[in-house]
Amino acid sequence: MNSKKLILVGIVAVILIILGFTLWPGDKRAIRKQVARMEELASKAPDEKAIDSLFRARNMAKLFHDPCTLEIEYADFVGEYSRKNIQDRIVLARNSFSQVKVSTHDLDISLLGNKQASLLCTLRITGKGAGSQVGDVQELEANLKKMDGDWLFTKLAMVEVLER
Amino acid sequence: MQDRLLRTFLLPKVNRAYLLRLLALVVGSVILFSQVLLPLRIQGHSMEPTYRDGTWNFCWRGRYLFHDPKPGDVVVIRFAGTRVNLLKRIVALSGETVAFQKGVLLVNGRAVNEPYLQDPLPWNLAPRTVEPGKVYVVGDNRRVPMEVHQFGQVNMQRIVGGLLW
Repeated sequence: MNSKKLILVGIVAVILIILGFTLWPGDKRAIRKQVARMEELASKAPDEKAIDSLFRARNMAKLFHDPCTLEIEYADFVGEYSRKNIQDRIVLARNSFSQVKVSTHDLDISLLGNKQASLLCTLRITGKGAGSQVGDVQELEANLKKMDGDWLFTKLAMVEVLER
Repeated sequence: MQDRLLRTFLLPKVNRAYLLRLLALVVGSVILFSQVLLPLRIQGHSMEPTYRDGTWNFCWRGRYLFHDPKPGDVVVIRFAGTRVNLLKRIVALSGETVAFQKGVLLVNGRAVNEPYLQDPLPWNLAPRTVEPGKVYVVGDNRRVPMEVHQFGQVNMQRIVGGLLW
C-alpha cells in the first residue's frame, strides 16, 4: 500500500471513529435527546393556541420524575414538587410570554452509574413578555434517573452565578 | 516579478507544501479562535452605551495571565462553558464594600466617578462586602430598574478574560 492510500485509509478511519462515537446510541445521547425535547416543548411560537400550550406543558411535565426537587430561588420555586404541580407552573410560566425561545449550551453530562446521571449547562431564554423583549441566561444543574428506559429529571437547580 | 508573486498568491499550485500550509492555517485558526481570542456577538443592552447590542468583539483570554482584574475593567464571565457569556464591569474587589445611593455607586463609602454612565436611575442598594475570591460586577446600562439588571459578586474563576477593544 503506498503512502497516499495509507493517508486516505487513516482519514476514513478517523471519520468513522468520530461518527461512531457521536451517533452510537447510548445513555449520554438519550439524555441529550431529553434536553432537546425540553427545549422544544418549553419554547413558544407567537401564534400558539391555548390547547397546544396545555399539551406542551403536559408533555414537558412528563420529563420530570414524580416528585422532583426544584431549586429555582429567583422564581420562588424551591422544594419537592409533584408532576401535576410542575405542569401547572409550566403553564403559568409559558403564559407570561407571548413568544419564547429556550436553548441550552455547553451541555456537560456525567454518568454516575446505577442508572443515574448529572448534567450542567447554560440555559438561555429569549422572547417577548408583556410587550417588551425578555432575555435571561442561567446556569442549570440537574440530576436524572433512568426509569423504564426514559431519563427523567429528579432534581433541577439554577446556579447563582451573580449574587447581589 | 510582482505579477508572478500575485498570481502565485491568488492561484497557488496545489501541491504537498500548499496542503501543509493550508492545514497549518486551519489548525492555527481553530486554536486561536477557540482558546485565545473568542469571537463574541454582543446580545442585549446591559452594557450600553459602551457596548451596543448586535456588535462584535473578541474575548482576549490572556488579559489576566500576569495581573488580576481591577475596578473599571470590562470582563467576560462564563456560565457552564464559554458559548454564552456575560459582559460586565468590575466595580469592587474582594473585601471592599459596595452600595448604591440614589443611583450613585459607593465603594467603601466613597462615591465612584463613572463617566461611562448615561442617565442612571436612582438605584438604592444597602452596603455589602465582597467575599474573598470574588469581585463585584455591574453593567453600564443603569437606565433600567435594578430588579431586571443582572449584577452582583462573582467568583474570579468565572472570569474568562477581557474584551479586545
